[in-house]
Amino acid sequence: MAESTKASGTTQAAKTTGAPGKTTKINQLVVSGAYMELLVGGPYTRDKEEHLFGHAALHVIVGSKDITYDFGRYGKTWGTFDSEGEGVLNVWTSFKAYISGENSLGRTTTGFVYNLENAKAEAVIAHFDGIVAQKKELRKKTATASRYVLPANYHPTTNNCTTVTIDGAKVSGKAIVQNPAQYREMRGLSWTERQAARTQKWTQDGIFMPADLQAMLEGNTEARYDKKNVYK
Amino acid sequence: MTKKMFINKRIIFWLAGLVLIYASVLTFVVINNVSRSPDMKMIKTKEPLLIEGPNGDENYYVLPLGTTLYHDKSFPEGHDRYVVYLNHKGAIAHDEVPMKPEYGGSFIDPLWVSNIDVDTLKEIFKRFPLSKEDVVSAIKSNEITRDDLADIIRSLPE
Repeated sequence: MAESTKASGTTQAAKTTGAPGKTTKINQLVVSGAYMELLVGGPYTRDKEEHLFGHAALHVIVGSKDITYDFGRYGKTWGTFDSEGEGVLNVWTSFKAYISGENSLGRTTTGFVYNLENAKAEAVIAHFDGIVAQKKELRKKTATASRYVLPANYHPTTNNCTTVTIDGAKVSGKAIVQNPAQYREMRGLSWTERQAARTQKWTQDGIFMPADLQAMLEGNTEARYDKKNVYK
Repeated sequence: MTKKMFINKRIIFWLAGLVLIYASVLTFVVINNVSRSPDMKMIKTKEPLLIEGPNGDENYYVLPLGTTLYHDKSFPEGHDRYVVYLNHKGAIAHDEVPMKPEYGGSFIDPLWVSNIDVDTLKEIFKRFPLSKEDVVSAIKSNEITRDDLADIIRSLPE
């Protein structure tokens, strides 16, 4: 697991000087700064079958809080190719548990880190707290994660892992969405799936594929990420 | 004569059409049946798995080791879905699950199963015991260390 720390501003050094001639004692306290990390899971191959769609989640750290919001079809599914289903949000309190699950697939996850003021990071968490407060049910709680069934169902183009991640990240005030039309290529979908996606409603920015989100973050000149982590 | 030939041609045309439709339906049925299960990759479990109860039921249920799972689908979210075939004779108390129009003719309501890791094993020991064989298989399959075992035992209730 990579950790982001700010060298300046959050590194506080306290220097205590004793009586003349005595040993000088220096205490240094290193505090990790607040940040959010947009996680984009890449394609993976399992049993010779390629899975190109990808996955996205949002990791937020502030103070002692370390939470990863992971939305997807973790419950009932319906429709052609299970394209729709219950909207289920996994709230991970252990990033290690989340990322080790992704790594076990042989998938590379790229983390785009944006350093935030504490209040901004808290606002992102408050956004998800508000979503969780509307839950239909708490379906499962373990030592590392809670699984909530939300009122809004999963939809492949308007309410999926990527759109939920973008909505949460926008609350930070970072302009993560820039020139979306330039990146709206539906990377990870086959030609047939793209045609099907074109018949569906889209969000305002039209970014619903994880790889399109990744391309947009890479090309963003307005709100450049502060650090990029690679987990595999 | 011309009229009769015209009628014969029409009959042949319709017959050919019917044969074509029949062949198409037959092909669809055959392909569907062939791809239903024999193409599904099958695995036989070497460790017990915990089945989560439906809708937040706090109990755990055990899928015994040696169960054959038929791989149905891998999801981009990173999880896999399996089919387990069950035989049963007699009546089952049940509610019907309606196929709502919004389901588009397909509805799947899966349960989750999970491996028995250190934390889960601690929970289980607090609530109900597994057989010795189950525990040994879980330890082997999940690479649980001697230190983990000592930690588990220390955490057992008096």
